[in-house]
This record gives sequence, structure tokens and C-alpha cells, in this order.
Amino acid sequence: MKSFTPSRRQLRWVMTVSLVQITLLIALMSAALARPGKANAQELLARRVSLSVTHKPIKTVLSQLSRLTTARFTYSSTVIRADRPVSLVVVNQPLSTVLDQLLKPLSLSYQATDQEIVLIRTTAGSAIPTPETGSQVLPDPANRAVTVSGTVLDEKGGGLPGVTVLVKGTSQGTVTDPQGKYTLSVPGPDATLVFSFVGYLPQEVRVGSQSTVNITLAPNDKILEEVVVVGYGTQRRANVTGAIGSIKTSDINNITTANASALIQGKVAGVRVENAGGAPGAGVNVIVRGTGTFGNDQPLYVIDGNITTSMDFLNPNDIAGIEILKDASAAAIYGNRAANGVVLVTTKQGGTGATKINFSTKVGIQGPTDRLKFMNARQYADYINQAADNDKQPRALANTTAFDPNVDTDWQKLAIGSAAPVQDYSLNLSGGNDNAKFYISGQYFDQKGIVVNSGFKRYNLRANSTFTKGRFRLSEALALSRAVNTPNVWWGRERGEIPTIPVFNPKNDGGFAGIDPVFNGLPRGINWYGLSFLNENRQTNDQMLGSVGAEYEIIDGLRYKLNLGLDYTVGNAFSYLPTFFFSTSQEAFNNISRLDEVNVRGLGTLVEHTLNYGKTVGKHTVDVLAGYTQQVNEFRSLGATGADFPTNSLRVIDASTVRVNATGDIQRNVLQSILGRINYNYAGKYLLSATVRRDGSSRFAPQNRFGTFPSVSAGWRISEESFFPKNSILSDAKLRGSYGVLGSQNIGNYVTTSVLNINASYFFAGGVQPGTALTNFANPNVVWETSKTTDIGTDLSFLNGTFTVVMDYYDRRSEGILTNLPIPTFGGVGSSIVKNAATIRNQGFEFAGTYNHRPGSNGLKYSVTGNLSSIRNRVLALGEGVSPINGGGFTQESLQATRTDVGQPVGSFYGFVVDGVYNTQDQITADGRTNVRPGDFRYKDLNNDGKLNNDDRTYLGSPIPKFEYGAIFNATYRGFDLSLFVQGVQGNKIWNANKFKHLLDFGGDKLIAGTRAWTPANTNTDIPRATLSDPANNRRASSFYVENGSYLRLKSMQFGYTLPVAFVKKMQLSGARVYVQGQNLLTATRYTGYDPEIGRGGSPSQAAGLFGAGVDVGIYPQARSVFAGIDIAF
Amino acid sequence: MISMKPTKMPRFAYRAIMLSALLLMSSVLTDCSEKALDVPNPNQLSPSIFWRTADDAEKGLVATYGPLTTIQGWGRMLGAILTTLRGDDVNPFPAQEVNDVGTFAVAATDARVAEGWGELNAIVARANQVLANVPTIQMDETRKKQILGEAYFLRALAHFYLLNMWGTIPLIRKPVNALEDILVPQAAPAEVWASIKSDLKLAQTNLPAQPKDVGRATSGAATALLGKAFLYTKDWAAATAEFKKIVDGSAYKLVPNYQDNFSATTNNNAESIFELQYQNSSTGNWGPSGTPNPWRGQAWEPDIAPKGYTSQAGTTINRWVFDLFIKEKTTTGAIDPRAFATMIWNYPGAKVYQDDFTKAFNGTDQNNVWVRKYLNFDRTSSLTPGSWAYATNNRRLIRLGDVLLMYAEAENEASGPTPAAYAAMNRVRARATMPNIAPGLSKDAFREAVRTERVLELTAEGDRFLDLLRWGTVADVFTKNRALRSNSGGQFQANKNEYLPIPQNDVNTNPKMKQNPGY
Repeated sequence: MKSFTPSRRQLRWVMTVSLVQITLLIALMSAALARPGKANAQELLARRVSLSVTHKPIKTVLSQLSRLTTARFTYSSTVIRADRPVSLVVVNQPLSTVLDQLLKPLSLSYQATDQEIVLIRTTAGSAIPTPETGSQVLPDPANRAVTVSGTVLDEKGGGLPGVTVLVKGTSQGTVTDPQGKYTLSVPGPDATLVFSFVGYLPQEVRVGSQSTVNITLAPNDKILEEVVVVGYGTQRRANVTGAIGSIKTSDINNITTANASALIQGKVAGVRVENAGGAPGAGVNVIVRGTGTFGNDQPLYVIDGNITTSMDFLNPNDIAGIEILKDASAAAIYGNRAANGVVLVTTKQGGTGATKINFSTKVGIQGPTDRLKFMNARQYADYINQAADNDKQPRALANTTAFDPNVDTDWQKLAIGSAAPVQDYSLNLSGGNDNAKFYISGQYFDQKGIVVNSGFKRYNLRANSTFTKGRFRLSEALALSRAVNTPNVWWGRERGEIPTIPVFNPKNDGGFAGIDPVFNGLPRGINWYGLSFLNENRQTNDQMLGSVGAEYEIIDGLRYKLNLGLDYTVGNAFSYLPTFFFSTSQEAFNNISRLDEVNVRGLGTLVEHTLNYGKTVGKHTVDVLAGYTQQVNEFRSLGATGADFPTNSLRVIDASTVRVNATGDIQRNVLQSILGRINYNYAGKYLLSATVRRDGSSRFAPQNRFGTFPSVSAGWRISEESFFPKNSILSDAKLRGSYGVLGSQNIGNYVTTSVLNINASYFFAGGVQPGTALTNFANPNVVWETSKTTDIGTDLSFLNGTFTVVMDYYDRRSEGILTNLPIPTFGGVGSSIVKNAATIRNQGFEFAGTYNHRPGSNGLKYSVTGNLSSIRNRVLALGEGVSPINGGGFTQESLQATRTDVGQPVGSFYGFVVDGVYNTQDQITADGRTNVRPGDFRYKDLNNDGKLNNDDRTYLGSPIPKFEYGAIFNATYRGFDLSLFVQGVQGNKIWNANKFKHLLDFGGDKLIAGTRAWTPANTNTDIPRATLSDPANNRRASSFYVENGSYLRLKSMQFGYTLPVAFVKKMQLSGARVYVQGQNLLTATRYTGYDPEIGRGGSPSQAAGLFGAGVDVGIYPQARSVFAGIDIAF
Repeated sequence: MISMKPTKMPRFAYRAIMLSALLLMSSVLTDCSEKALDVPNPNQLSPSIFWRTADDAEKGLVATYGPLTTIQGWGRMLGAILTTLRGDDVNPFPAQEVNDVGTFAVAATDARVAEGWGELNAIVARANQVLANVPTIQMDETRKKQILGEAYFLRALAHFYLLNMWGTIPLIRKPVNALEDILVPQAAPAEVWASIKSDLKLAQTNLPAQPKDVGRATSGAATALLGKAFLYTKDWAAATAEFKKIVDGSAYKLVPNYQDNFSATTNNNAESIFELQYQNSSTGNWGPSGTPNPWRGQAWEPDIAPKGYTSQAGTTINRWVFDLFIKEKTTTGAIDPRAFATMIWNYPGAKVYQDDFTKAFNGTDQNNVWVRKYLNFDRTSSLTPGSWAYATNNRRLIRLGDVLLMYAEAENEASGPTPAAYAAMNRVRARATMPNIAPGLSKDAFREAVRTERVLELTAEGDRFLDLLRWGTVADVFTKNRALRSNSGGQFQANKNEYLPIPQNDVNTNPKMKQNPGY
């Protein structure tokens, strides 16, 4: 701004009128910015302002002034021609002066009321609004011009100033004065007046014979003015025709988590979020509208335009909003990666005005939501003796003659006994002016796990900024993060500790006691608690996610954008197992110390060119997008294993005496795409959107590389129709429908070409010699999976937006799902080939509703928002020759809990149906069972063939909830605020493998339920007899493990108090709020394991993944936590 | 800051500059060519460039040996679960889904059956690759001949065990290039036997007596296995002829100490004819040949080790075997030394691994006879050190002691108890300081004597079930003596448990495949 001379301290402005603005006929662009302040008009006008703008529309300048002074400007965009660009520099001037400087040259003036500043057009010397005659309107000689006057009232009966009153079909009109009065000359009695005002529903009135037209405007539904982030752009909520779920910042902050994707849970209908237990930093599964694949069913994440696979690393405080693109119409712009839905995350940007500094911190304490009840040492010894007797095996010394009454170890209490702290510190700076804005933030998050020796730390740094010069705009978002996870990988191991051994034995290497196979009579079992102290595990992930967008408006409405993205990750996985000795039991000693370390470096680059053109002609509004993109992802790993370290304190590969292993590979894929979208709307009434993306993927063979993914959607805003009853309870209504085809290329790299296996080595006396063999067949014809989605939805608003409802029904058919077609193994080329064969269908209903209580005079303000969704997931086909998929291994002998077959949900529980316990040998004989004794499980002979075999297994329920729901209640009253968040699922089952691990398995501590085990004296029980050898195979997969997984949970409750402004001012602050928060405070469930939130976390070796969903192999328990926090603004 | 004002310069020029700057930047960053989509696998070898050099031939051959010692192969499944634990010499405790084969509770879906089947078939498939591709490689002809010989031997060895354990198998002798090559019916057993014998004859002529590396197949190994093939098909004369080459030759000698056949320190000794080479890897992985760094240790030890010294409930030796050992004393009136190498029981000074027998077991377990053979008692249990897959006590798949007894058996069947038959028997007994067997036995009596001697010499070495099967006595033995499976209560079902089930997957996926009876 060197062309201006600040020393003159005089306002100067340069006005440059750009191309003639296309004036909208009816739509009024206006702004009602900032909440009405309490200040009176004089106070407002005296507020001092500094501002510098160049070539900006008036409305932008006004909005900035509004932000700086809290003044609310009211005007008609058409009347004041709010798109006219102006330039202005003021330094520390009162608002009144600024307005004079700004408005006078534009032939505008203003009137200030208590709350508002109304802009009006000036005619010579007059501040009273007068009609403006549109030159294009020729008065019809048949009609005599008449003058109409009246008052426009708001919903409370007060005069509404600044309302635009237009003669329909013309630009002839006026605005109401501060009392809401207007006078207007109209061509004749056939004329129709259109009253419109931002925040209110427009109304039309035919003049007829009246000379006075008084009306009351109804407030508009706020949601309709919301802007929604869509792929490659934004859209007004009112014009959205796809199914998009949005989460606002205010609803994000009610959960404290290490993993940002957990914030989505319970907040969007149709989006299931599964916490994989409660381990800090553990993965979270996000499933949008059901699982439609047997592979990776996780959505695509787009963070500030950067396309990636996870949002876990984000600082939740940086998130400005999350949108979830659920249907094909919304997601199709992401083509062959969108089949599982798309999560769009927008991070915060700076605003204009003085620099703001916010500091937030919270500290908390966590404990488990529940504990299991285990036998004590005496009960354990008795139970095991019972088992030994039943098995006709000698009783172990430790449980009989050598029983030590002084040893009674409560392993559970040791492992999850003490409260675990959480700390979260966050600082951000934001600000800027019209040309440059910035947002800089940092976070340190430290969560100790409720399970001993587990924890997670994260460091975040973010810098977002935008720069504007004329028609050029540059935006940048950069996020740096480091996450350090130190998991306790030994938690939840089956065959664990028993209460009859002590914790410590100083004589042992490592200092911990263990199970003596002979003395304790257990062949296997180890002190996992002790091992978790000795085994050092640490995963460090550093990530840099950055994007730069350069945008240039070539002609009005036509914008070219170049978006460059960079996703750079460096990961290190470290695991050191020192030498130790607990006992001679398997895994209970280690003679050779060992270090495994793997480094992974990933680099993803994204280049996107998009061209966007928007134009309105008459009632037609068109928005066109075209683009070309290329994304390259490459991961390179390098790992080494060293063994036999001279001391356990040297923990780097160089210190190892044996270099055991080195690994490394490159994973690379390239995606080239063109994309296009047309949004068309007619008079804001009929909406149409068509999207297509064509992707070329390096993952497929050249002949199958390219795929086209089209979608189309339409919307009808019925409430815009003239026949729609005015002033009805239903104030806004939209019907939507969409259909489209999406793809999923989540299949891994290099799967379409056969490779030789170089790992077929053999050891000859003298050394290992390398061997090479063909060990599998690749299928070159593999292509992406496709999903075809139909969606019908409606957006409704009642009582002028007090209550809004969004409902959707969808039918998603996923086809060509990759399955493993089994082939005979005797060919020596593996047991299966991959084929696009299966079909899965997901159908569901979604409901989301919000009630906003309009603040009354008492100042109580509250809102309730809730969602409910149902889902029906079915496998329609597996493909010819494809066998049902078994999964969910819940024992080390790989007993499996789930089966996926045609007609059933993915990963359904499968097994025998327990029909009580045998009481007599006669019953057993009658059932024709062998190796079975009284006290063993009786199973139903489902096919009535008199035999019990695998044909008697059946489906025992599904881990997929039939219904899911969530609700948030927010209220504020005189500085106090309260937020409640409940979430629940209904109709799902959980496979409680704790019952195997702590009852039917031969090792480990036993659940107290075992004291009810069948004995000849205790026959009225559902717990089978004690046995370790289990000849009747009571531990087989059966309904014994299946429990109701429904729960209703008070996920979060937050109570805060905002300190009075007068008070914080004294402390040189601009704001301060203190709060307490509780998480997982109350849970209603009938599940008897630790916690009903199982997800599909499994354990490192069991039940992990899609087919292990809902199988509880001793999942890390969820924490119940309490926090206290403070937010300070400077 | 740039003070250039748009108003002072032609607008289109300003815009053109800005736009071209953006486009220039973007074109530098974008490789628009579709060639960017050609991303070959940088990690693995393409089949199209293999089988060109002598080195390729060697690597392809090594891959054929690969499956022998993995856990799915003789490292564990073929080393105990599918073989030793089925014999009437041992009595396994139940371990659900671990030794269902040994307790005759096996189903066609049993993963362990599929593992053994898979590794043996991998040997066949890889041998087929070698035999089809190596002949056209330009390389040293002598070595080429040997490579083919080794492949013939390995294919015959795999077919031998497949046929005898599963009864009827598909016979594939060409490389598998398409799915149709696999979808074939089972061959008549005679056809497979013919293939085995033909392969072994080619191996016999192609292979040298001294291998390139210790552990590779030799002409002696081919001869011994060929004899065994004739023995199993009751071609007594042919069997005798082949065994005679070994028995009369000087290449192999009985080692003076019987136990040297089951100890890591005496691997590859003079008695060994074909020996699987185990590798000590403390950091391997469970996985078949073809996975990186699979364990190739003696992983079956926990499957046969005594209770308390294994992660399972253990395996005992059946009482009748013990009685057989105790019945006849050595020339000095002592217990047969082979008894101490084969079993452990409560005799004075008896030790289990490092512990005194009396302290190692509780109550009735003290009355049991436990397995000793192939266990590494220099350690603290079957699981030390650190893992159960470490031990490198090589599996002697064919040793002279066995060949001598097979020779005696074949000779007796062919010509009655000839002096040669006696000599072979007594050679075996003499090493154990056992007296010569009584002279003048009838053919039947001699047959019984050989069968008894096979128990004393070969208990818990894995071929016992196959012996019973070829003698036709297996159903009889097990159904009449339920006590043989007293530890598990397992019941042998005749016309079913003679053979293992064909893995369910292969029956499901190949319509031409027939499941074995009873499964």
C-alpha cells in the first residue's frame, strides 16, 4: 500500500468498478454479521477501527467492520449494489467517520438504531428511503401506478428495518426504515411485492386493491444458510442434493481422545465408528453405511484438499468442521476410492482483525469402565483340583500339599489398578486482514493407558494461511505431527497368569515370577504382567501433511486452481525383548535378547488442476467444475533384527552380536484422474447435480486400468413452490434423490502379476542356499470393486428452523468384491486366486434431527441434536466356487467365531447352539455322543439327524448393530454451559471370548462364574464341569460365548463456566472459561465383558480385522475419565 | 509487496501473466503421461526372466528341498503330528486341533493335515518346474544331470509319502501353468507307484554317491527309497536287489552308539542315508517354504515330549513297547540300550531333561513311560532355549538300521529266512549288544521277529503306522487295543483312519477329486 501515505492520517479510498456485476433479480445477497451487541448506537459509532482493503466488494468491507465493531449492518444487496469493489484505509478512526468515508461517494447513507446500522440509498439531501425506479420496467398503460406503504414486523411483532421490498419481476424496490416502515410505488394492482431479509423467509404479497400492506416475516431456518464443504468446493446446504453429514466444531470438543477419528462417533447418522478398545492411540474404524467389501472398508480422508487415508494424527482443536460424504452423488468426485465414503476435514483459518491467542489445557484421570470378577487363589486351586479329578490326572502340588495361603495375586488389579493421567495443552494464534490471514497452533497431548505400561503422546504443529491479491489467492495448510505410542502388547493374552503364583521372584532374570509347569501343573502360562515391563515397544510416527492452493479468477466466475499436496510420513517401530527367565514354561523365558526395528518412509504427492465456472442467468444458476489430478504414493520400508546383545541396556542394532534379518520393500502406486461436475439450479427450486470421475490406476493391468464413475442427483425444494402453504408448521422442505457408481481400489499394489518367490531356501550342512519358486497365481483380470448407491432423502425444517430433520434411505450394492477363489493346494501354487466375485448389499434408514430453543428473556439457550440409523447388511453372493469365509479366531488353536456367507451379514457369529449341560449319562447315550460326560455341554442337533457334527452349526447373530443412535444436548445460561452426549447401539452381538480364556481354556486365571461349574452336587447350572483336557470339546465355537452387545452410554458430559468479561478484563484477558468433563460416565449394557465397545481390535494375533469384529479376546478396556480444563483467550 | 496495480496495465496482460505462471508451475509438477501408471513390482522377480542360467537351475532345485524342513513339513507336521503320533508305539494326550490326527478325531478341515499335504505337494510342483525347465538351460552337463537327479528323487519322495498317507492322490508330473492343470482326478495308486519307481531309477543313475553338499540326495538315497518302494508294493525280489546294494556296499555303516542317530552332535553320521538338515534360527517365523525366514528347526519336540516339558499335555510310550524292550536282555544281561535311547521311565537315576524323574512327575504320571528319542535332554525342556523351533537334531529319514531290517524282511518274503536275512537282522542287534536271533526260524516266525525288531529299532521314528498299514494289520491292532489310545480315548475307525482325509479345500475346489472313505 505504498501508494497511500499514512503520514497524512487521512482516509483515502480508491474505488474501482470491475466488470458490470450481474445483478440477481430476486436473490438478495446481504449479510447480517456478528451477533447484535448490547451497545447502543452512539457507542457503536464511536468505536475505533483500523482497516485496510483494496478492491473488495462493499459487503466484504461491511462484514469486516461488523466483526471489528460488533455492529450489525442491514441492507439490500441490490439496492446498495453490494458487490461494488472499494478500497479503503483507515487507522484508528471512529466507525461513524469510516462509514461516512466509505458510503458518501457511493451515494449511500446510514441510520443507526440500537442494534443495527441500516444502509440506504441517498437521494439529494435526503436520508429517507425512496423508491428506485427500474429503468427496464415500462409501466403497463392498463395499470395505474399506485403507492403502497406498510410496516414489516419480525416474529415478535417489532418493526424490522432494512427489509428489501421489491416489485416482483423488476429491480424496483426499497428498504424498510428503522421502524420497519416502507413506501413504494408499484405499477398496478397486479404487482406482487417480495419482502426479503437475511435470516428470514422471503414473502410475496399481491398488492391488489390494498394501499397498505403490513406483513410479518418468519425467521428462516438457519441450516439452509449453512455452507457445506463438498469435494473440490463448497455448496450452500440448501442446494445440496447428496447425502452429506456434517459435524460442527462445537460438537467435536466434547470428547477427549488421542485419535481424532473417534470424534465422529455417534454424531452422523449412518456412520459407525468402532473404537478398538480403549488403548491410547489405538486405531478407530469408521464405517460409512455398512461394510461393502471383504478388504479395507475404511473411508477416504480428505484434509484441506489433501487426499489421504487417516485423520488420526490431527489436533482435534484445529478442526473447523467434518463432512462425511455418504452417498454416491456426494462422493463420486473421488471416483475409485470413494466406495467406502469420504470424510472431508477442514481445519481452522484465521479471521480478520486483531490477533487472537487462545490457550487451552485440560488434565484428567482415567480408570476402567468395568472389571471382571476372578477367582482368588483358594477358589482357583479348588477349581483346578476339580478339573484334575475330572480328567483323572494327578493334582498339581501348588494346588494341594504345597498350596501357599500367602500368595493370592490379583493380576487384574495390578494390570489396570491405578488411575492413569491425561494432559492436553493447546495454543493457537490467529488473525489477519483482508489480504492475509493466518492460523498457527500447537498441541501436546499425553495419555497414559489404564493398562499398565501403555501410553501415547502426540505433538502437533499447524500453520494455515491465505493470501489474496486482486484476483489471485494463495492458501496454504501445513501440519506437522509426531505420535509416540508405547503399547502394552501383552495385555489380554490368553493362558495368562494364575493367582497362585507371586508377582516377583528376585532370583529370576528380570525379577518376575512365573509358572512352573510341573509344580503348577500347567504346561503353559506366563507372567504377562512382568513381560510388559521387560518388553519395550514403541511406535513413532512423524507426519507432514501440507497443501498449497493457488487460485486465479480468469474472468468473473471462472476460477482456475492449482492444488499441490504433500503427505510425508516417517515411521519407526521398535521392539526390544531382553533376556529374562520366569520359568521353563513356553515363552516364559528368553535366552537371546532381540531387537526388531523397522523404518518406513512414505511420500505422497498430489497435483490437481481444477477449473470452476459459476454463472447465474435469470433463474438459472450453473456451477461447473472440471479437473485433472495425479496422485503418487510411495512407501519404502527398511527393517532389521539383531539378536544377542552384550547387555540389556544396549538397544541398537549395532550392539547386537547376531544380525538376524533385514527386510525392505517399496510400495508405489499412481492414480491419474479427470473429473467433472455440473450443479444446476432453477430458481433455487429445482436442483440437479451430475458428477463423473475417470480414474486410471497403476494397481491394475493396462487393459483394466481405467474406470469411469458417474453419479447424478436431483433435489426439489417444495417449499419454494407457490402452492406450498405459507406460515405452515413446515417451513422448508426439500426432496432429494441420487444414484451413482463408486469404486474401491483398496487391494494393495502389484496384485495382478505373478511373481517368483525367492524365499524358498533350504539349509544344507554348510549354510542356507537361496531357492526360487513360483508359489502363487496372480489374476491379471482383477479390477476395482464397484458400489452402486441409490439414495432418497429429505431435508425438513419446522417452525422456522426451530426443528430440522434430515432423513435418508439408501440402498448400496457393492459388486465385484474381491474374494479369494479357493483352488486345490496340490498344484503347489497356493490355495486361492483373487477374483472380483462377491456382492454385498447395505440398506439403511437414517434420521438426524436438531431442535434449537430460541433464547427467551431469561437467557436460557439450548439445543438438542440427535441421530438414529438402521442398517441391513447382507452378502448376496460370494462368487461361484467361493467358500464361506471363516474368521475371528479367538483361541491359539484358531477356533473361529465368525463366518461370512451368502444371505448373512459380513462376519456373522457361527457355531453350535448350547442346550444346557448334561446331567446324566442316559441323556448323553440318547444323543449318541462319545467322549462326553455329565457336566459337559449339550448342543442342539439342529438337523435332527441324531448326530452331532459340523452340520449342526448355525448363525448366532451379527456384530453389526441393527440400530445406532447418538444425541447431543447443549445448553447455556448466564455464563454456564452444559453439554451431554449419549451414544448407543442396539441389536448387535458380542462374542465374549473371555469366557473361553478364563473358564474353558486350560491356563490362566478363572472367572468367578467357574465356582458355579457343574458337579454331581450342583446340577442346576449353565457352567460346564471343570476340565482342562476337555475331551467333549466344550470350548468349541458355540452360543455360550454370544452375548447381547447393545449399550447406551453417557459418552461425555461437560459443564463449563465462562468468566464475566469485566472480571477477565482485569486480568488482561479477553475471555476465559473453566470446565469439568466426564467421559464414559454411565453405561447401560448387559454385556459381561469389560466393555461393549469391542470394535475389531482383537489382539496382535487374534480376531483382528473385518472378520473379527465384535470378538472380544480380552480387548483393552475403555476408560472412564474425568477432566478439568481451562480455555483462555488473550 | 508488489505495487503493480491492475488498473494501470492492460487487464488481460496481467491475467495472462498470472495464469501462465500457474500453468508453468503446474506443468513442471505434473507428468501427464499414462506411462506413470506403469508401476512394475520392484520387490519381486518376474517369472518371465527365470530359468535362463545355471544359477536359476540351482535356485529352482533348492526351492524343491525347501518344504522338507519347515514346520508344515518334517519340521513338525510330517515330523510328528501326521506320522509318529499315529503309531501304536506312542499314546498322545489330547490337544484339541493340535493332534486330532493322532487321536483319530481328525476331520477333513483339519489345518494340520492340509499343511503336510501342501508342503509335500509343493515339493512335487517345484520338482516339476526343475524337470521341465532345466534341460534347456545351457550349463555344465554333469551338474545338470545331478540337478535333474535330485529333482527326480525329491518328487518320488514326496509322492511316496503322499500316496502312503492319503491313499489316492492326483499325479502331476508337469509344471502347473493354468488352473486346468490342477483340476485333475486322482490317479490309480499303481500309476503313482510306477512314477515313483521310474523317478527313483532316474535319480539313481543321475546322482553321485557323494553329494555336492551334505544333505543333498545321493544315489544311495535313491537306491534305498527305491527298495522301500518295492517293499511297500511287495515286489520282494526287486526290493531285495536294491537294498542289497546298500547293505553290501561300504558307503554306510551302523554307528556304534545307537543314540548317535538321534542327537544333534552326531548329525550326518555314517549310518545316515538321507537326512533332513535342520537350521537353528531363533528368530524365524511359522510359515511354509516360500515365506521369509521360516523356522526350520526340530519343532516337533513338544509334540512328543513328556508332560510338563511341553506346551501340550505330552505323549507316552505304550506299555507293550516297554514290555517288549524289557523282555529280552543284552548279551551281558542288561536292558537293551536302545530302550534308554527310546524311552524314559522311573528307573533308578532316570532323568527327564535336567530333572530327576521322581521330581518331574506327580502321582500316576510317575508310572508312565515317556518318549526319549529325538529329545534334546541337554536342555531344560522341549521349549528351550527361548522357543521350541530351535533344535537342530536332524531327522534321519532313511538310515542303514532301517534298510537292514527292510532288507531282512524283503529277503524273508522273497526267499525265506536266508543267511543274508539273518545276517542283516543280527547286524542291527549286534550294535545294540543284543544276542543273535534264534536260528532256524520258519518264514512266519522270522517275519514276526523282523516286525518285533522294527519296534525295538525304530519306535517313535515315524514309519510305524505305515508299517502296520502295509502289513494290513493297522485296523486290527487299534480296534482290538483301545488302551493304545488310553490317554485320549481316541477310537480308530476301520476303513477310515487308515488314511488321512484329503483336505476339504481340495475336494471342494476340484470336482474331480474324491474324498477318502469315512470323511
